[in-house]
Amino acid sequence: MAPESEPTIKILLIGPSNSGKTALLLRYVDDIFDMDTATATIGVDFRVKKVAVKGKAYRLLLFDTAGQERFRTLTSSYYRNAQGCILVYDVSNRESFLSMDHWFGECAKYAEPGIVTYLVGSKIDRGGRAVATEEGKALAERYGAGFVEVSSKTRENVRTPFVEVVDRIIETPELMDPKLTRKRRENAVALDHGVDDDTAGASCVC
Amino acid sequence: MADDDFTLPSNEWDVLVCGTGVKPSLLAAALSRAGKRVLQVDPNTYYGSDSGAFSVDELETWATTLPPDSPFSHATVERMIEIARPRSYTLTLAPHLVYWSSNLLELLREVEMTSSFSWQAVGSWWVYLTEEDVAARSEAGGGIGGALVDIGVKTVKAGGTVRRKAGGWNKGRKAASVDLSGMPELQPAGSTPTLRKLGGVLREVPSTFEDVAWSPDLQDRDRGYLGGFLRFVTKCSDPTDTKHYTLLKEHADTSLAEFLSTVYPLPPFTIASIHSLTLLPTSPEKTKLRDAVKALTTHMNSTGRIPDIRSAAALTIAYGGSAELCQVWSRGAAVAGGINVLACGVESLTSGDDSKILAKLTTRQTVTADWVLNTTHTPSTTGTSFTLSKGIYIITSSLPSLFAKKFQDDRVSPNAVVLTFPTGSLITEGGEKNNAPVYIIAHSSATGECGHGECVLYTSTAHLQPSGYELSSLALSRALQAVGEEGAQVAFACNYTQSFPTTASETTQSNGPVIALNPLSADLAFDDEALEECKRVYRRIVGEECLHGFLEMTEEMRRQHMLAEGEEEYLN
Ligand SMILES: Cc1cc2nc3c(=O)[nH]c(=O)nc-3n(C[C@H](O)[C@H](O)[C@H](O)COP(=O)(O)OP(=O)(O)OC[C@H]3O[C@@H](n4cnc5c(N)ncnc54)[C@H](O)[C@@H]3O)c2cc1C
Ligand SMILES: Nc1nc2c(ncn2[C@@H]2O[C@H](COP(=O)(O)OP(=O)(O)O)[C@@H](O)[C@H]2O)c(=O)[nH]1
Ligand SMILES: [Mg+2]
Repeated sequence: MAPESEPTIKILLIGPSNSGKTALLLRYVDDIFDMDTATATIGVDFRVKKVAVKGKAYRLLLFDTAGQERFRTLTSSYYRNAQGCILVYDVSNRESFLSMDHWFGECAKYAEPGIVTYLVGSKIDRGGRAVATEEGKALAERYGAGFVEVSSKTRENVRTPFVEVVDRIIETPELMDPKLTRKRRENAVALDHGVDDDTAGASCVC
Repeated sequence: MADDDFTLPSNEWDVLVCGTGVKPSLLAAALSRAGKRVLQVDPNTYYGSDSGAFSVDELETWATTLPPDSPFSHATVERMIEIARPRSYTLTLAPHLVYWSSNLLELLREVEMTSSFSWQAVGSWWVYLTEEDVAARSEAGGGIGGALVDIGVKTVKAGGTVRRKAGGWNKGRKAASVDLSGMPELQPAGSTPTLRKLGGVLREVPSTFEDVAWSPDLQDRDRGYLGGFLRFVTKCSDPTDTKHYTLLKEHADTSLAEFLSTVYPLPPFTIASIHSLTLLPTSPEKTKLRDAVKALTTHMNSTGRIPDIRSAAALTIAYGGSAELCQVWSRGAAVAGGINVLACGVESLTSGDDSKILAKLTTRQTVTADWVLNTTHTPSTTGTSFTLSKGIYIITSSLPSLFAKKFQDDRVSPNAVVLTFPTGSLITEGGEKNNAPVYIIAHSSATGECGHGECVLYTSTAHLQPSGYELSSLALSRALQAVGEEGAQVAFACNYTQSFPTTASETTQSNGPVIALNPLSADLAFDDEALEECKRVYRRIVGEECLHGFLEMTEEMRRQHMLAEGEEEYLN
């Protein structure tokens, strides 16, 4: 038997276009920040990062929007089976903050009930702040979400949203108990084994 | 919204894909992954085109407005009782079954995309037959199939008899039928497979030799012919099996009903029950043997092969069947660098310089593309179309007896089933009988399409509206009665009419670089031809010498997927 592999945790990033989601993801996973890769999508469905929490290893799958939010064409399938959702706005852009009610709404509509949410105000290194820290905190509280302000450019707090979301997911038995998280999977049909298994006696017509 | 501007990042594209239905979305993903710059637009505000999925509110809007230039008409919606969370449903226009042997599963396995979906099993097929139906026996003479009566059945039966020391044949037959109305009753582990019955009228369809051997409804003579017919289905496409091969050739255009009342003379109720496995819209009298055999072969090639649930032959994709395919593939196109734009149609196409196509979008932008993929809704001018009456119903009960496990050792329980009301089994208040079968595909809440304690029933029949709708609702209430769930009500109903091209044309219409994909066929199961057409179009665009396999991942994607999977973990 193969050794028991780490549990996986699926976390999404959502928020308006240009709020800094991809920058945050790349800074956290690869520790890179590049002003010029501005609207570049990450080119894969998700990035993988292994983390250890209290000595136990987990594999994080971090999903980015692939730029679909730009034309408001994010698919509802994006939200399937996610345990955590990080909502990102740009503290130097008031409109991006005002759109967060919409994004919390999307998350409530499409994600599994009980998903852990976390609000992130990004780009605090930039001048011209348009959203006060208190406002962000109050909004997060209203939705029962965690909250932090970050800069992907200076690295300030970039690990915080991920670490805290993971902590909260791990602490939530309904989200982590294999019996519960895997209920749908348990009841789903596995496609990747035994395709040519010919012990299928019932239909044997030879 | 902040910084959102709807300016396209470029005006020059390799491929402009119009529509977000199954085929356009698949091609958008495949072409993007092959490095093409893909712009995918859809005039609708939702993904999926004719294969979309909606919440209750959205479906109501859809039905009252119906997209222009679409194959839909005559839509009606009704909320019978208050729905607590109308926005949470995923009601689909495309609840396709996916057979285990289908090329779709093969493709998704090849490109490691199966885990992008949650797969639920389609359990048994049930057919509505009253005691009178079963008692009515035709005056069948000894058909030539008599000479071909199969020994397979006898062998199975003999084996079974040995296994059940408990009693003789008659005793076995009594035990074989478990009436599940009221409390669902599971079979004792390791028992002989039996055919179940619900409410005395919904009968599980025999589809294997064992089923045939043990069916309580069949007489021994029928057992022989039915076994013979099943054997015929499995052998007739093999040219080296001259006997069966020639028999099919001779009777290819004979109707299934005629073939089954002469060559393998079987009573009408058995013909209806075999026909239900084909999922074809036509009555057995109007179904050509060649079409029936093709559908039955698919069914039989899949039966018993799903390791997690031996009693099933097909799967369904959670969250809307093919609608989910459209979404996942459209996102796939975006992940690989393409752009999806909804609420954006193509106003006109003209030829530009360098054999490029100039496309004027309804958003008043003009883009150029080397290729344009369209979908024709109006079947080719020469072709004819036919229509199906469709229905979507939300039921206020989870109908547990429908979704009960057949075999105790199946690892998962089915979350979808097929119910068939044979031609002539239903009658409207005006005295009109259904001139075609009415199919119901039932989905449990595990498909994510409705809430716990509910289920969604999708109906389909070639009987035209308005009687087609009345007959569908009638079938529905008969089904609810038969499963005997106290308080099961219809909470919401939507009926609509959809037209399809009569013959799935194997040729994709094209005008130089403007390619018109055929609409999906009317099949209730995902049509293998859909992928074949997409692959042909893909090869035409990327060129035969392109080494990037159809829908294959890019290198970076493969690397991330390996990381994600670790040893043997899959993300569902
Ligand atoms: C249309 C719709 C309406 C809803 N309305 C309500 C509502 O009014 N009130 C409310 O509280 N919630 C509602 N929900 C949410 C839904 O019922 C949630 O799944 C549930 O509330 C959360 O239960 P849970 O955390 O125990 O999830 P789980 O029970 O862990 O469910 C996880 C998934 O496993 C599957 N599953 C669970 N049990 C079974 C089973 N016995 N058989 C087969 N599959 C199973 C389901 O697909 C489920 O989504 C609705 C959801 C939808 C889609
Ligand atoms: N100064 C600064 N710029 C940032 C920060 N995060 C993102 N950006 C810039 O904001 C723009 C949009 O970021 P991006 O990550 O692409 O946003 P997305 O659309 O939400 O994925 C890019 O030009 C980034 O370089 C940050 O923390 N500080
Ligand atoms: Mg981005």
